[in-house]
Amino acid sequence: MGRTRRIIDIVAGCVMLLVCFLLMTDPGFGYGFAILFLIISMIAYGVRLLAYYVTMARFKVGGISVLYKGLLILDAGLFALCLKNVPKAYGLLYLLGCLLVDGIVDILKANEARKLEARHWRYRLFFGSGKILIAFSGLFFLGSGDVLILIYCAGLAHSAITKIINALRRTEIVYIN
Amino acid sequence: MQEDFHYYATYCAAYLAGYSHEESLETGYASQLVDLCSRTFLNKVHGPLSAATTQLQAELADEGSDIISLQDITRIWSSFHFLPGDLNASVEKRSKKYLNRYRLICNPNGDLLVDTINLARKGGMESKGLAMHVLADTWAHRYFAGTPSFVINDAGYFFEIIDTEDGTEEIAIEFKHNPVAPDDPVKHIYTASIRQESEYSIMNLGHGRAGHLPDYSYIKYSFLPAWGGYEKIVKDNPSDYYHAFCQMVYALKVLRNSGEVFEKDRYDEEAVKPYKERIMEILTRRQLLASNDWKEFGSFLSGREIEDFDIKKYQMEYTQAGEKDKNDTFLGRFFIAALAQKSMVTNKIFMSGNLLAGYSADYRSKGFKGIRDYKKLVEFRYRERINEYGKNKKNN
Repeated sequence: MGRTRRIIDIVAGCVMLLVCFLLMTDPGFGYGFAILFLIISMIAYGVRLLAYYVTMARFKVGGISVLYKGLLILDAGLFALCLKNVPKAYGLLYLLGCLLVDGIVDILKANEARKLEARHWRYRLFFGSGKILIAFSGLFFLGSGDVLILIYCAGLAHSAITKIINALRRTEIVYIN
Repeated sequence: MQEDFHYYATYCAAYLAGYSHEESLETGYASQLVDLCSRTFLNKVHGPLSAATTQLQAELADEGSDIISLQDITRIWSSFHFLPGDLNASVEKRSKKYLNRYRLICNPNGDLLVDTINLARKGGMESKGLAMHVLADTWAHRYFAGTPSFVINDAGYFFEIIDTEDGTEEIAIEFKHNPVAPDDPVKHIYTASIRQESEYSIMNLGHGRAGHLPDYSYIKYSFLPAWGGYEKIVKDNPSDYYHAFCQMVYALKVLRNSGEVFEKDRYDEEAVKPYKERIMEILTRRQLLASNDWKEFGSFLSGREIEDFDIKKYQMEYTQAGEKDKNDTFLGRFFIAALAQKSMVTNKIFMSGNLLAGYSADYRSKGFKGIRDYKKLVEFRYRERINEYGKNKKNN
């Protein structure tokens, strides 16, 4: 990782933690912000796919599907942006779904690691079970914006801390001839 | 390629190249270990994690799509399983981003293969075995790259080419996506990774989209690779595997003679000629694993029993050795060879202006910088230099 990239990642991580703090202090504002952020992410993803098509996928056999996908996602994102009100339950269901899948993947990994007698399988199992438990518990609070903010902030903080830690990691490979 | 070629056939190649039974066993063992030396394994034996030569499915699933994870994946798979054929390859009207991926496509007889063989001169049988794994895989895994890339590694329209009395027949290959379902060569049903349109998805790493077809010696098939501009490619595994075997015999002979230079595109067909019919029979037999056939052939060559591969064989020697003596054990030397190979390939990719495998810091100009595990490699080389200096002084 280059120096510029490290600086960008550390700054981005700090901004994410700051946003996280702001959302927690004002949940009323936080819900609208989280939904807006999810929609903007969708639009950005659509734009990214179009750029990916222009720079790389158009040279690929069957790469045209990337163009269609990019256009569809961009369109869906722009449509969602035009909506005046997104029901809280939809936003929460989306996040709980992601958490559930993440938890299942963690447990599958823990199972394989246990078979191979690796050391960290208990740690994975604990986190995987925790995520699944939160995902199912969240179903009882579908109408609550506060729960959505809490889960969203936890995810955001986790990403921010990972970003900062990664930026501080040693990554060069020494070459000795 | 699997245990049949990496362990047993490598044993046979080493024996034909003039190594003893014990040396050939060590060469085969090191070659096969490349497919098993994951971080989970290294954790278990308390080895340096950067010496990982492969990744388990669970470890791959664990990797994120961030730049550090992608570089880590590329370093492992490009260094040991998909050695790039030409780091300066070019195609017109392609972006730099596209070319960086395109240049990592694995192919035999590249400059990096020469570097790999030269690097193996510095070590014992562990280094030679590791280099033979890399060499053999350049034939089996050609046309795919050791980095997750949808625009390079996606593939489709697979047809098996079967020789008939009237010529050849092409039969469509069906792919399923259940990782635990066995491949069925009779019905032409195989398992492959799921199509994922994400550039960095691990489903698009190496030959995942072609399933295990490149790993079976008997199969000849045609397909459309994502990078090929709708040009069909015919992959003739029996022929490729035979070339790999003859090149291994040649390379191992070169490694025995310190003065000899390894040249690209050379095969010791002379030494293999008396056994060609038997080898081709093994290579073309329609079976998913040819271990028993190669084992029998190896025993026929050396007149000795070839033990089954046992991953625990050298573990106790390594775990019980003191910290200073670890590098004198089989696993210790294997880990050093793995670190050296990864460091060399990363450096060559980095020097070609491609950052997909990450940054490389030249020790001579920058001193020690970066991942701490590589200190083991620096210390090892330093110790080697001192021993060499001592020997020269004694001789003079």
